Amino acid sequence: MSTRTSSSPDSSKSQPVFNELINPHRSVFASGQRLGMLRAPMSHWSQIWNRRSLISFIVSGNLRTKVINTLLGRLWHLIPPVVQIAVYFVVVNYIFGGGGTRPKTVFVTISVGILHWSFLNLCVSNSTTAITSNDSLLKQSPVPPVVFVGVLFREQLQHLGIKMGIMAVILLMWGPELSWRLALYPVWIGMLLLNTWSLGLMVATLSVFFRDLEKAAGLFILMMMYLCPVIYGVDFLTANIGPVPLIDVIMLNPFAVNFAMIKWSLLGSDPIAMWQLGLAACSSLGLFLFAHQVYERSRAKITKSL
Amino acid sequence: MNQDQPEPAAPPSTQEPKIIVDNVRISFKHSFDRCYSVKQKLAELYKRMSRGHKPGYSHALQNVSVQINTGDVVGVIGPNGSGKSTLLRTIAGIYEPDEGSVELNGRVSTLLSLGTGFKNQMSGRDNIVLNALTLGMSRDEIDSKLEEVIEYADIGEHIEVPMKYYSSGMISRVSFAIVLVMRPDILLIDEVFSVGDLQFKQKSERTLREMLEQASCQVIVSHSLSFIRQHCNRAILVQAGKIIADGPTEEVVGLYEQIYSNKDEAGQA
Repeated sequence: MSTRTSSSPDSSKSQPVFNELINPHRSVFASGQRLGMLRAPMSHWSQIWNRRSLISFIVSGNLRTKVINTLLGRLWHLIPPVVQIAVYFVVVNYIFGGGGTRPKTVFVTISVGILHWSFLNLCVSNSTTAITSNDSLLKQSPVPPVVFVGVLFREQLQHLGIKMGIMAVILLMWGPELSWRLALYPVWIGMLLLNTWSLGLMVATLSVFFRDLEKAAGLFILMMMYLCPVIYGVDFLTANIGPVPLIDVIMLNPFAVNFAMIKWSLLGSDPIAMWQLGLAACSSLGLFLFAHQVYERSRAKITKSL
Repeated sequence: MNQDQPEPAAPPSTQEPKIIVDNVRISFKHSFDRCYSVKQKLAELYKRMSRGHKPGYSHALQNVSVQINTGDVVGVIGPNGSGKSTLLRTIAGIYEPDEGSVELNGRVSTLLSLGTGFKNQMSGRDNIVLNALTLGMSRDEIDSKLEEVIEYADIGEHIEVPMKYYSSGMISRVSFAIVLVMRPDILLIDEVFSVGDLQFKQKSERTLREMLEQASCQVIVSHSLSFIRQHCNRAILVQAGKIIADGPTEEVVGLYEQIYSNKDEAGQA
């Protein structure tokens, strides 16, 4: 829906302004307005920014209500990734003997991968219900559905902060020496956020129309975890598969490149080729624009389908 | 509402348009076409491709145009499924028009169904903040009015209790308190007057009247014709997604009664 506010009727029909049904108290909703590739993300992020107080309030409220009925409270945000790290460490190091004489390296590699992966995993798998579980609010007030994807993302960002703290401790205790590569770590985190947001927004939108996605998203994420260097490093691929086209195929996946670069920055794993990095950056941007177009084109049908 | 001592209807409207609904059409796909699984989707796709089958739509609103001005208290009446609630949701901006446009001049507040839009695990106080935020109010504005809302709801220390323990009457008190104390320019209410005790009904009725004095307008969907007669200075009769009458309350309500009493007689004959 085009939600536009302006001072004159003519300008309201030609200039979409991405405001809400709030100040300055003039709104026009018209049919058939679809924003283009670049304007759609700007509009959606503007809606999220305008509703930032609502997002913060829901996030803090959810946190309180989830914590209040549990014995371990906020620790539950950390227990799943820590258990996952422990399980993969035992499987890789002891059962498959992959660690050899370097169990600490294996542990750090798995920890760095899982702690980042759990952010993506939780964002995407929870996004299947991000919009549908708020149907009563969406049918009561003109809140843009993208706001609830923002709530989920913001919630998981808080947990990511805690996980990064744990990762920092692990790296300081058992990780390799820090190098200049660490300076590029924020770039790869930015890429992870971009990719996760895009995938989450797309899944949240399509889940309104295709309920299969609730199941399929979990499977997709599991499959992606093994296809990306999460519990292994790029050097593992090079050593076991060799520099054959298969690695190039794996690295066509922007998520795989993202995790490879995170590990390159933090652990000094093998770097990947510049063309692969360039391609991944373009794919990430393309995915971002595509996800916003999917939402933009579905937006009008969402509340009618809930 | 106090049926024994009906108060006169609200004063006639001035001519400043608050809501302009222009040639709006709203359609929903038929439920059988809402396929949620890949299998159903593939079957539907096959049907469409092989037999030229097109999805069925039900038109909830068709070419609806209406202008509502400052001071208008509009009662929307009509049989079940005629499109009254859809009209309200379209005005609120919840549904996007498939055709046409809706223009609003003022802050909108909605009371479309009691109890929805609340998070039951949160306390009444938190839900007041949540609802006010969804209505588009700033946090400062909410904080400045929060105590007034709580006082208006008048549910005592229950305000700190999770809403899952509230009775329907208490939920209605909180819902009304939020929209009435926030003093919107445009108030949209959908058939929610049937709950709450007499004292609270009278209080909310007084507030609705006060709001009209502050240049607001109200659109009220109700099946209670006595309520519409008592409170509205204008009525709209909606039938099969179309506005078939729009004018002074008495005339439109009379027409509605006439149409349906004729149908009843025809049915009995």
